[in-house]
Amino acid sequence: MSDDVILKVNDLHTYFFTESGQIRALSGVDFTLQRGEVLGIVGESGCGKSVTAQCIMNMVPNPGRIMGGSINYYRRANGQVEEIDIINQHPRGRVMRSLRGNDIAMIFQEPMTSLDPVYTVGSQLLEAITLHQDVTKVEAREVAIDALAKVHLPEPHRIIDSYPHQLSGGQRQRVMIAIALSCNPSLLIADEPTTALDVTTQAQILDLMQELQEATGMSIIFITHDLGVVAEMCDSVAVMYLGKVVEKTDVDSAFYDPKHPYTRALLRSIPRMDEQKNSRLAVIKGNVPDPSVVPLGCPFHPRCPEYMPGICNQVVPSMIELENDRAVRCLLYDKNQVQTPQPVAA
Amino acid sequence: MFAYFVRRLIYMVTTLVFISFIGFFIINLPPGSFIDVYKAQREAQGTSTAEAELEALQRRYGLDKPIYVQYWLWVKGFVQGDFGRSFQYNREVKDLIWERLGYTAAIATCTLVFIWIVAIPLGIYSATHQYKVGDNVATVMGMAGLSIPDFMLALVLMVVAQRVFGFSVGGLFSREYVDAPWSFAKLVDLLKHIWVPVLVVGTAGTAGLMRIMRGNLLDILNMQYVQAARARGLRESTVIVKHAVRNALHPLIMLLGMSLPTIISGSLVVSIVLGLPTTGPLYFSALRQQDMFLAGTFLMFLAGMLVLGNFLADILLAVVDPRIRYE
Repeated sequence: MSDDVILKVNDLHTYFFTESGQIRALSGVDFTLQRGEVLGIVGESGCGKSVTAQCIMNMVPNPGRIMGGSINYYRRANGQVEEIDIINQHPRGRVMRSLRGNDIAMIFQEPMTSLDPVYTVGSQLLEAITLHQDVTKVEAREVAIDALAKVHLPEPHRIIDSYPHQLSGGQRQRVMIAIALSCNPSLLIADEPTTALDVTTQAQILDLMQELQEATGMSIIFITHDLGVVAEMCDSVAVMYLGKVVEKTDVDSAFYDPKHPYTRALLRSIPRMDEQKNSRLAVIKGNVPDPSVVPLGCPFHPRCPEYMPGICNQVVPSMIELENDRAVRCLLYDKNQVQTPQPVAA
Repeated sequence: MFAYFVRRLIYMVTTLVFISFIGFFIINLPPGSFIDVYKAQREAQGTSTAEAELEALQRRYGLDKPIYVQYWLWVKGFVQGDFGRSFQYNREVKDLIWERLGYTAAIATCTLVFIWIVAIPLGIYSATHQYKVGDNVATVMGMAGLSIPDFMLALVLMVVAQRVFGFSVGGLFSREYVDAPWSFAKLVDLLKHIWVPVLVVGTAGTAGLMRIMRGNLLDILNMQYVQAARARGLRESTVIVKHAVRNALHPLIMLLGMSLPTIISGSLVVSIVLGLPTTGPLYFSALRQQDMFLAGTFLMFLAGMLVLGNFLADILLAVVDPRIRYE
């Protein structure tokens, strides 16, 4: 394993124990993130993207529990690399709190509701700064104004004393980014940060994030269902389906040479400029199955256009390594299965 | 903020004017006037009423005049502190009410404080430990507290206090202190008695408020800004107190405003059962006896407290929530 790894997620299982039964939100998520890499996690609603983010922060909401696997964070301090086993830390413990906001920061989907309405922007920004940095009150305010200026908010001296409801959605998301970046995190988790914004603001926020990533060299996990955003922002992509990563690849291959039938289907469902006027947009048939009743075999087989009867509904596919660090979880690429189509006892 | 304050003040006064109007009208709805009731009462007792006395009363309240003149006379007297005369007790309403208001306010204030001190922490605990043992125990206790009727609890407490501990808890004082002047011993005696109504009325209130606090807080705990606060690395206790509880308080402030009238009315049924010298039973008998000035004064006081409570709650909300302040 190279020195440059910042986060390693291995076989992560997270279940929600609800009254109507056990829901397997994550059933074996694997990925590795390099320092400075921007990874896009894509997938339909309910595939476990946000839960993955919550696991990394060790903030899985009730009644969810991490049931297995590991998340290792590699903290670089004083030239040393320290390995932190996140899921074995107490969620409210000191180690986790020193990571959150300081090493790993997060921005959320809804900028309208991610700031507490009864405190000023400055008070919430200062919370993070005074918690993780050894500064006086006056210095902290300087740092805060500086952080607001970095995200190109006009008149940071005025913004710092305003309340969230006095700002627009785009401004609030900039404030959230300022809070997240105020302590110079090594890893930023962005959970659909532009979904709730209008298109123009979306583009501005993406530009800002790209600029800040280049300036700081931080790693970003960019959770989205917008493949356009992935193409613009990311170095690599992890496609998720029903709590599993089904394809992990660099961003160019994801668009020009997708391997998994699900990835291909996702790409076909993007409207294109050069398409015939009267042609219908391709859709993926069916819905994401209820995670409490996952289909046998490959969970995607009921919706898969390349479904192989007798194989796909029997065998659970494992991650198959391809060339150039790519990997795909599909039986089409499993040499054993395609050549000898014999059902294996599950 | 100032404009907000003035606007609320105008609303408050307008509401009060309307309430006085409707209140007076309703009190006058039953056929006959209180003079007839008064006369009938006197006759039943075997004493005849002097025509001169009846006429004096008629003149004082303008009973021979149209209703709007009567209303005007009543309102004019009211703002000057003359609430009229109770026919049932043959005394000034003012004196009757003042006599009982002190105890009523004392009991009700103790009850309110008791409810808030017990219910808020319990509600917070319940919400932050949802579906754990503590939450379930609190929920069951809350439901029981909410569903056991006041008067029943009062009776049970009286019996238990008498049989097991051997002291009388009815009323507010032991017999020897009722007419005694104030002294330290009398105060101790009062404290020995006051816990019963406070506990009885407080149980149902605590249960209700606890459930409301729990529900509010559970909603707020799901908000993204609570998650965001956690993601900043704040301590869980800071997240709960500073960000969650602070935002869950709004509905409770409104509720506090609405409970202001109980400070002067007290709890009627409990007061009757426990034989408390509060205003509740007085109001009740005034309504039954068509003692219109006593009833009307009560009605105005209760309405006034409700409107004042709402006004104070509005002001407090503006203090707590910048979105209202900067409206």
